[in-house]
Amino acid sequence: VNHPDELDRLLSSPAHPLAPPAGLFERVRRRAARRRRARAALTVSAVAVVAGVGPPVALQLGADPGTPSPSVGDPSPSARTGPRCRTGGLRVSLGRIEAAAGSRYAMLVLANTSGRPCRLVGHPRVSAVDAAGHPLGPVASPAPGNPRRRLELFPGAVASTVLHWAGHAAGPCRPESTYLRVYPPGAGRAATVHARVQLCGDVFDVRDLTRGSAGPAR
Amino acid sequence: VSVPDLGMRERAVDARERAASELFDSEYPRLAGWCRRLVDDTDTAHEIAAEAFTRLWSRWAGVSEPRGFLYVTAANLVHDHWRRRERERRATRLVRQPPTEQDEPGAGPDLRPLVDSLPRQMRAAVLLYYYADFSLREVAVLLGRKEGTVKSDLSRARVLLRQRLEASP
Repeated sequence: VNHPDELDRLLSSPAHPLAPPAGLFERVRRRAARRRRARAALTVSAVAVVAGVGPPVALQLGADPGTPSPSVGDPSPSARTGPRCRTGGLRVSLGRIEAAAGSRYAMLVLANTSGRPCRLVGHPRVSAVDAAGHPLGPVASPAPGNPRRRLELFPGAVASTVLHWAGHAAGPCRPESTYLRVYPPGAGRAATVHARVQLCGDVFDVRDLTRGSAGPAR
Repeated sequence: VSVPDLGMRERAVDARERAASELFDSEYPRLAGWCRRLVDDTDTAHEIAAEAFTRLWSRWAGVSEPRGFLYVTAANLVHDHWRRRERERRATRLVRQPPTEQDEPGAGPDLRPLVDSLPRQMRAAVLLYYYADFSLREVAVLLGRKEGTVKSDLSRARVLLRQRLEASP
């Protein structure tokens, strides 16, 4: 052990690959999909739990425990009331579209890129539009039991929400969208994000924004 | 459903499943083998590797460095495993662990407790650079640190490891 090259030998000895047990890939895919859905549901129930409690509560939703996540800004309940976040000072991005039991979900993330604190209350106004900007179906309605919360977003902090709509089984479908048009709460100007969303039936809703992120969207 | 009927979304889902399956086929055996060197038995190695993939795929948004994400996550899980084992050992007041599955013969003295005793940043750098074969530059990106800092962490880690190796019986 005292030989000086022992360390190099120990550090550089190769690992032997281990083949995965049969069926592991499918099990892991299913488990990951369950967790994603559970987290979407958590976003909804966490909003319900803090309704009426008053001060904002720091929630780290969408972030994996034990892995790095972006700063969520000032969690202090006594945060000052900043100006309303303006569309130009926000980066809007959409996460992957997930399918589950006839429903479709996608995380919508708003990041404060303005360099100063700003405030968001409630939910964004979201609609699906075609390449020419014509709306395809209704504006997303606020989901039932959707309480308003004031979020103070410090520079670099993010807020997120879940969009929910129905798949083919729900009824006649509209053409697939090219973009989502997103008006941040209270803003008069919309941000546009690329999104292939096909609304079917008449389900299309949006939750209130909560603090925290799903990480950088692709 | 015949192929021409598949909509954009279904094709996108297909492509995503294919990409996931390719990533799993190419990275899982190496990741699990890497974990196996760091824990006591094969089952734990599989559990940790599978959990790292689950965390990768349970995120809503994409990860730009999936391979790095897998190794950093697995390194954290391995560390948690060691800490849990240590707590259990203390709780049950066992002086020695019962013999567990043996490493391959010739693997030499056990470096794992020594690596785990390194300060956090050094440990991560050692695990990724030596055990997972990432380049200096990749390790720096994965840990969000400067290449020079990683380099000096690695050389300080080597000094510490060498001292501790020499001090061990």
